[in-house]
Amino acid sequence: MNLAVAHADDTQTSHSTAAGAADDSLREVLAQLGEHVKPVAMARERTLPVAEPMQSLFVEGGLVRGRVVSCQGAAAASIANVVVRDALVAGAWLAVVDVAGFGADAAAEMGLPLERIVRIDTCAAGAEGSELEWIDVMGAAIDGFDMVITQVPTALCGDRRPAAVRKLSSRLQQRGAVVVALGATGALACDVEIRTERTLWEGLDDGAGHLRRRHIDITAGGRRLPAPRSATLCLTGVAQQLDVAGVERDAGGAADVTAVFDVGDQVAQLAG
Amino acid sequence: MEPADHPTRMVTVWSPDWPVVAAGCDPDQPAAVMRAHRVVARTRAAADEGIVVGQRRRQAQQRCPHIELFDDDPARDAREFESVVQAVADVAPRVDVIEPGWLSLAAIGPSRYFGGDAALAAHLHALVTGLDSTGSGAGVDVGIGVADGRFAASVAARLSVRREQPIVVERGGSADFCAPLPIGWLQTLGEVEAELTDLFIRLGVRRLGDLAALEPADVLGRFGPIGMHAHRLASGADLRPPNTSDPAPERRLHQMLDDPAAQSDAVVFVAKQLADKLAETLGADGRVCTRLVVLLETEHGERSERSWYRSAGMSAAAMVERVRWQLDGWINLPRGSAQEITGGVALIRLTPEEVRADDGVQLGLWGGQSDADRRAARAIARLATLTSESAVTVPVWHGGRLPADRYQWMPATMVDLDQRNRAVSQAATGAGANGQLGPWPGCMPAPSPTTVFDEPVPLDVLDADGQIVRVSGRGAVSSAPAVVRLLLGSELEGWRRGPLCRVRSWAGPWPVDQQWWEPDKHRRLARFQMVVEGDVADESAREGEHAHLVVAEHQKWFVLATYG
Repeated sequence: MNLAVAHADDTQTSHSTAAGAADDSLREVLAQLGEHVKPVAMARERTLPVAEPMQSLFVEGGLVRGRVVSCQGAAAASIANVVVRDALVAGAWLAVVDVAGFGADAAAEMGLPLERIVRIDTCAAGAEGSELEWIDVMGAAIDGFDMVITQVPTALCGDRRPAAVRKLSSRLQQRGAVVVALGATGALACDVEIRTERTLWEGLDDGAGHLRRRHIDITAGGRRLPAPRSATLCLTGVAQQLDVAGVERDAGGAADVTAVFDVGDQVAQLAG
Repeated sequence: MEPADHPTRMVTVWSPDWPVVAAGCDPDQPAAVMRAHRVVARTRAAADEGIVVGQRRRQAQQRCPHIELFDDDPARDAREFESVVQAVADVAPRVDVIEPGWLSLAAIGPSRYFGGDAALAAHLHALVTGLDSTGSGAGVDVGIGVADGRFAASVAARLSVRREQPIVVERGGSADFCAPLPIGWLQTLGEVEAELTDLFIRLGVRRLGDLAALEPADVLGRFGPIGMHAHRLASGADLRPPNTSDPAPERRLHQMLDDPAAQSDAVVFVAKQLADKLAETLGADGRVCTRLVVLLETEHGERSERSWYRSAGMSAAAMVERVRWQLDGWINLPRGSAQEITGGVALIRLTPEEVRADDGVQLGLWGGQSDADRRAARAIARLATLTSESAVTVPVWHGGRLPADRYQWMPATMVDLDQRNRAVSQAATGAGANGQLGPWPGCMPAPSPTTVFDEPVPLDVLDADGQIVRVSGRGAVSSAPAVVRLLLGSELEGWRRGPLCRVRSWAGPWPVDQQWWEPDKHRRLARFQMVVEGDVADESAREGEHAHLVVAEHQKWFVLATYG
């Protein structure tokens, strides 16, 4: 197919010396032809990088552009941060649309570059924004940002699927952004769903210690995955940097935690 | 005329610590303007108390407990500076504003009119110090320097503040004037980066004269174009580097508004489009604008024309910022002024007066803009029009012990996204230069909560007997928390009790007693971390562990944030 286009191009250049007017129309036809015969980009070629432990959850080994990932359960916000992290580190921008109380500190600790995070609130604090406004804002955000974290408004969580949302989905496909939804995606069809199965906090005792490490069992499912997959994330806080360590549950055994945590240091900070 | 041999004679007017003047402080009262908890400007009285620029807020308060602190506001600085610019523009045709508090103008014409450089400087000094721009009754502290070239004139102006009289450097005497001065002046005036001056000092080039004495070819070979630039400034042969040129007239861009814009946002929006286009066309030629003339005209024919100068060159964002400053100053002119604005703005014109080859002064090797950055900048502008400017925000490090205090979400249009890297990346290490937690001892250790509630959610914390847990003034807990119950609804409707959730484990209290010296901001509370079974807000979700940051304040309990 490529060869045919190259050949057509040659004839076109020889013509251009002869007739200028025909040149433009020919170019147009060629552009259309090129659109038809251009090599198909496979899904696995249009991916954004994703953090190591998450790779096992995605068939393609990365986040495929144009998809909607839903994070659910108790650890949804942390999972969303882990999902977007590597793409952001690689230079992508993140829009946070209508997420109440997005914790910038947690994002920074997870390694997200804060200088590429923009937060958009469609409604004033507390008030319920209209879902149409959310759709407009999402459309603009998808155009400009590679990653979008959002909460789908409750009005769109019913069975209804308005035309505007379908348009939004096709725009997402075309622009190649990735939407990470916290909670249910409602009318915006979800491709991959990451569910928190179990979270286990370490470090707290009855009246002593402080939150230090967290094990999260997650299961990924959805229409883009042939079978559900599961993994364990281990988020460890060391000197304000969270290490993400992941172990496939199938491999057996508990999470292999190598990070050393200096308790004395942190207690000294608390006392100060 | 060969610019290298005869730099244009320039007058520079510099007002030290302009931000405190703009904030309306009395110079005899200690006051300072802070940016990101650091002093950027202070009054004379504060300087006498030992307050220096760059000092931390706490140190400043320690040295001078009764100091008055103001937040930094570049728009206010520019607005207040407009009256000074106006006064100087009345005696000289073309005034270049470098930044609020600092302007320069060509000396030749006005100096001939007033009968010499000294007379001109004295006149300007009387003019500016006589201005009562802020209504505080006190005059403005000002330094005036006249010399060959903008750099030498700026140095002279800064020195003249200390000597309390204008400094006039003889024609052709700029090199001799600069020679004994320390090399740090290059950095002070923003001409070169701190690393380069540091390197010069380590190499034993401590004075501007030492640098000027070196062979230009050697300097170019060792330090590249930026070193050459420093060499030219040091040897008093500046104003325009040799690669500057006057751009072709078709470079100027203007936009007539069929529907005159009465809102400043609308004008800035149009200016943004023009600036993007201008920066793009100049960038396509590998050039950057160093002097920009902004003309605004209303439907009634009032005009505001200002020339802005920046030696490092202006990005599109910097141009827009200057249009915004100019517009702000114009709108806030006192009533009855000659060019008072009475109608909507109908014409915006951006004219690049001086361009030079863009050799990458402002962008480092890794600092270049990627395609994603440009797309995001466009999307931010579009989102700001879709919603409102205040709805599109970016995080800026602020610091604090409670999660809601640590980052401020500033409107993205107010923040120069190119320069923000510095402010935010500092925060990634907790604002400490040495990788420590920085100036916030007693803040919660990592991990931090992922969800920070705008409004703290009230709840009841009960012990095993069903009694509400209390925290004493000395930070002792009456009994161990066993159960929590969220209060739903609002204060107006009355609180409804949510489902009971068992506390699996907890830690605390970590007391905070902060800002006791300011009655309005004083907070005294005790923090707890609690891991709770089930979702406190959702009765159906009985499974899983949820960790929360809970505080007790004035015998009431609140959830501040959730470790989601």
